[in-house]
Amino acid sequence: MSMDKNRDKPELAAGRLRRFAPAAAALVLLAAINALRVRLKSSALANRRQVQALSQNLDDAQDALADEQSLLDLKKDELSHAKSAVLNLTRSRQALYESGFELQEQERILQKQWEMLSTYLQIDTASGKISVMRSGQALETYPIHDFPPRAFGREAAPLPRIVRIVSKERYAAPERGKSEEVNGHLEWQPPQVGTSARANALGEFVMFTNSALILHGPPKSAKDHAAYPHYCLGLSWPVARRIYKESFIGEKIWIADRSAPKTPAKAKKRRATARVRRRLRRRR
Amino acid sequence: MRHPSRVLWGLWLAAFAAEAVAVAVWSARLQKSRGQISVLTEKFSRVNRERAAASGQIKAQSQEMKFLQSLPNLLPKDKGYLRTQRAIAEEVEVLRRKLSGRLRGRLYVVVDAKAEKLYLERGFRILMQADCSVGRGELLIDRKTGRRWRFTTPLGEFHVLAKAADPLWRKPDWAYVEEGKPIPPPDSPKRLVSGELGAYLLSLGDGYLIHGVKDEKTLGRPASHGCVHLGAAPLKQLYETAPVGTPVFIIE
Repeated sequence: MSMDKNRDKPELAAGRLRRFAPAAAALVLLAAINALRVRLKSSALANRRQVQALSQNLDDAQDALADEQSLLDLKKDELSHAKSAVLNLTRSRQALYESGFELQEQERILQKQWEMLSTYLQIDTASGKISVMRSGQALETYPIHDFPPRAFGREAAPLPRIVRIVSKERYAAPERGKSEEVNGHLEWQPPQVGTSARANALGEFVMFTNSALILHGPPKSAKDHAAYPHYCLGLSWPVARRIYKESFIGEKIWIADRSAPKTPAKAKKRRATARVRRRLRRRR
Repeated sequence: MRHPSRVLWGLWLAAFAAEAVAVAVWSARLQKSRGQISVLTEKFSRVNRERAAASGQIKAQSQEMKFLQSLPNLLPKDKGYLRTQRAIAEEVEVLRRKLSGRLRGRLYVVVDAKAEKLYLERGFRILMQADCSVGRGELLIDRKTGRRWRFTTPLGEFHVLAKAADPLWRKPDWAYVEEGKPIPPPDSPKRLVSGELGAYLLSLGDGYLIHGVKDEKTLGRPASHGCVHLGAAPLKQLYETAPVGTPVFIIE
């Protein structure tokens, strides 16, 4: 009997184990699934809290973005106004400067034209001097080297009262320029074509007038000067240089004969002309 | 013995099913919340990027505003400039009155030899202005003969004496001396050259002309041998507008 009992104990234990194993497995499975549920629940709850926090942060961020965009729009408007103001100022300044430059340009041109038109030469036959005059005032006065005018190879002409300078030449060229129409084309011959010799006759500074009279500096060759047919007033080199520089084409040369007695009629006429001029000036 | 185990198994099944359902529900909720977190995170990043961009733009605009405010005052506070302008305007008026007897209503040309500009004016109104080129002032000496030429444009009051289209140029001695070529006789047909003087020509007398030029880049500086060079377009306008007898003032 005892030997049977000892032999039955392991079998009994095994039998009991076989009977309770499914239950144990089921309990373990239930515990596992319960643990999984608990874990999932806590993760889901944690995520929900995170979602709520993120939503709140997102709302705050969107509010801040809206504020910044409003500020950006304001700044854009401000900048646009400032640029527009600067552009207007620049344009005003440009207009001011351009009108200033135009005025200066006009003043320069008008001043030069006035100088040209109001400047003339005056030859005083009594003293044998030549003066650069402007608006009746003598700016410079120089002696005339050879006065009265001399004629070479031609008859002397009476001195006209007023002549005009029509040409100035430095190193008077052999030929004068000319233009002529040939076969329907205008041909221009500049002054330096030709071979006749007058270069040495008239010197370095030569002023031709609309009469026979020529004003010039010392000739290069006295022989050539005497041989060249012309009617001239001789000036010294510095005076010729100065007069040449200061004179213009078209400038009048008044030849005042102060030695001749003035006739009363002429004096009356002069006084009358002066009165009319004064009246006109006052009206302006 | 079987009855209690069936009950227990039934309870177990019920519990297991409940747990399984709960697991499914929480799993779904977890998935959903993960999706929401992902979406919210992306939105948050985008909003932050936009904020960063806006901040950058605000900063740039502030700097630009600062720069504009730092620019010097474009209109001078000192009104002296305006007084000078007014004084110059009064002087211009005085000069116009002085010159009105000679120039008012008249068509004339002014050549500013210093500024290398040509103006066509009627009265005191400028009809056209253009760059021109006057004599360059050089001295040319022919070493063989000793002849000299100084290429300057004379100053003074001229008049248009003649006009021509497609003019021919009779080449002068100095042109051959300049080129170092032998000088042909004065009447040689070889001297006649076309196209050198441009399409039009206005003669001022004494060999001085207003004519065209081959290279308009030379305009605006003294480059001629004494004539007044002008560009093709202003030359055409001058030719068509200024009749013979028009005064031409060459000033400096």
